[in-house]
Amino acid sequence: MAGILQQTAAQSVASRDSLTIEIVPRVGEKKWTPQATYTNASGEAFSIDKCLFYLSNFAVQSSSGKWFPIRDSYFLANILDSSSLQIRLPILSSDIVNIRFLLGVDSTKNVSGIQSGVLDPARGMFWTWNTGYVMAKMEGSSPVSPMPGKKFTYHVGGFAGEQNVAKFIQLAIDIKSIEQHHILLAADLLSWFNGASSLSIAANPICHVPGKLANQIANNYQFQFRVIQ
Amino acid sequence: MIVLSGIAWVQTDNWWGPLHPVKFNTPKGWPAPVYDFSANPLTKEGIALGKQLFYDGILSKDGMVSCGTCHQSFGGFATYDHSLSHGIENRFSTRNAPGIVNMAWQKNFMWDGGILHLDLQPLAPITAENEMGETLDSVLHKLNTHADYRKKFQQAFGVKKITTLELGKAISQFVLILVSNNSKYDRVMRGDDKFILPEQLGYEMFQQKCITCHPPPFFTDFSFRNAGLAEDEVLQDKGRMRITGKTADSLHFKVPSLRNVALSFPYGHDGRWATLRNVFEHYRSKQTRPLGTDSLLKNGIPLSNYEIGQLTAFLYTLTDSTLITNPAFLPEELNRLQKQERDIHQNKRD
Ligand code: HEC
Ligand code: HEC
Repeated sequence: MAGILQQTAAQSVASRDSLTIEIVPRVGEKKWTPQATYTNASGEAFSIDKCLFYLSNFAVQSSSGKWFPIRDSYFLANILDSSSLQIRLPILSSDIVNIRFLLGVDSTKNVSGIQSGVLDPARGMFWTWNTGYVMAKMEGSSPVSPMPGKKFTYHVGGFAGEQNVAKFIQLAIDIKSIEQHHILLAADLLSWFNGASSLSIAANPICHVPGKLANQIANNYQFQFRVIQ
Repeated sequence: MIVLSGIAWVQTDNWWGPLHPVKFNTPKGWPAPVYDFSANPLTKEGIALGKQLFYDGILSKDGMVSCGTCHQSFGGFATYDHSLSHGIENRFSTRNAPGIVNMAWQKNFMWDGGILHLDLQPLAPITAENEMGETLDSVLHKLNTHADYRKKFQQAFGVKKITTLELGKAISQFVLILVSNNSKYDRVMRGDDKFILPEQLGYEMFQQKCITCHPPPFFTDFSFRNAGLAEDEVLQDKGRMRITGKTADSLHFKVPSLRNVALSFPYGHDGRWATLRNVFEHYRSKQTRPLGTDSLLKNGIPLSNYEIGQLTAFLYTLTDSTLITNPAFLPEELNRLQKQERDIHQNKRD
């Protein structure tokens, strides 16, 4: 198994010695665009201007069943920045059947002082008054929103105990995409609104604190990913 | 020739070090600090840089407000004589600034414990609209385009580009050295001084009535408690509950340290008590307390006027005059001014 991983995620750039996961932001079956208007399960029209989320603590599983964690793997996906949607992992082997990551940032990094790179609080994904990461953020507008400018803002965070919204995601990988060192991963942003408890913009236009609403949204959006190729 | 090339070497862009390490001294009998110094080793350079930042308005939007505006040396590094600290454009913060001494022993910060690491603490006032009103990006930009700061950050941390990480570490280095352990109380405990009678009586009473929540050496147990203050209708500050989301934590605030309490008036999380007398009146009042008041305070603390006088005398022994006069802690302008004054006197004598 030697050589399956390189030391850190930061280094490798050439596609042949890395596995690229490309995130494709969608809303339902359609590709997301900033101008488009969509409708959620509560029948509310809305558009999305901004959406970012952390992906971290990647690990891959070989066909023998063994998991290989990828050290220091922290990424911030931003739907407005296509390069941030290309996640390169230092994986050389083609013997990979499953991939796992945390949608969010682990509690250790939440309590260990100031971090750098994508975890730098200056990235705007950090609460300074109740310190911890905003694991995922969506902002947009909807005619039903009671807020100024018809905005809605969902800043979903919390890492301690019941407030923890970081979710482990595990996905099966097919052999074809591994051979091409390229996985296309759809992120369905509609899932934020539709799920175990549907999110109504009229009723809840804002989420800015850890707690019940943040947990509900995270429980919904944890199902946003689907491997499409 | 040798000298010249030496200078040239010093002036190159990537000059770093040698740094001058500074040892953090834990006062005798105190527990080990909580702060992880191995992740941010103190150096002369780091502390000096932290101090410069602490007293520099560059961290605020209007250039007028520094950390030192609200954490004043002569107020025991709390805000002297203001219930709610002033921020930019005369806006008020919603809480009373605590004295920031002995921070190396604290696990979490703010009256509600919402901040979990000292390095992160500066980010809250810098970005709060009613305090320094800045964004991190803008502050970092100002620092990165400031030749003097760039040089000093490079010297202290070996970085060409200043990021949040180094900003937080630098400020922490200065805040960490604000250790207060040189009050009369400390000298008495060390056997170097003696209480006068009222102080001694106050000390004994303190052991009976206050020590559970305000134990030495920090004069706080760092717990969050409801001291029976009615909620302020305007501020509607729920304290610890804002962080945990638990109703049981409603109106719980961190037990404040009583070190330098004679200087840090007004008192209470929102500064509602102007004087120590007001605090004692609160403790001894027999009126019914709000639901959730700490069981130790449910029925108030019986205190006679005599006892109040003695407790006050004891609390005054917690003032650390070396903390508020140590040039290492004071703004450089003040040090220069005081030096000038001394020089004038010398001239006169000459
Ligand atoms: C506008 C006034 C203001 C400014 C400017 C300010 N602070 Fe504060 N500081 C406060 C207040 C008020 C609190 C208590 C806030 C709370 O509990 O919500 C506080 C709390 C703190 C604490 C935590 C103390 C404890 O016991 O938990 C530290 C440390 C601190 N400030 C350091 C700083 C530093 C460093 C700066 C400069 C970057 C700074 N402050 C700027 C008002 C200010
Ligand atoms: C049950 C725990 C408890 C006991 C017992 C207690 N205190 Fe306190 N004390 C607190 C808390 C909590 C606060 C902060 C209250 C707030 O602002 O919400 C406080 C605040 C204070 C303050 C204001 C300090 C500041 O900087 O704002 C003083 C002074 C004080 N206490 C002195 C005393 C004295 C003297 C006694 C004994 C007579 C005593 N306390 C007993 C918990 C306690």
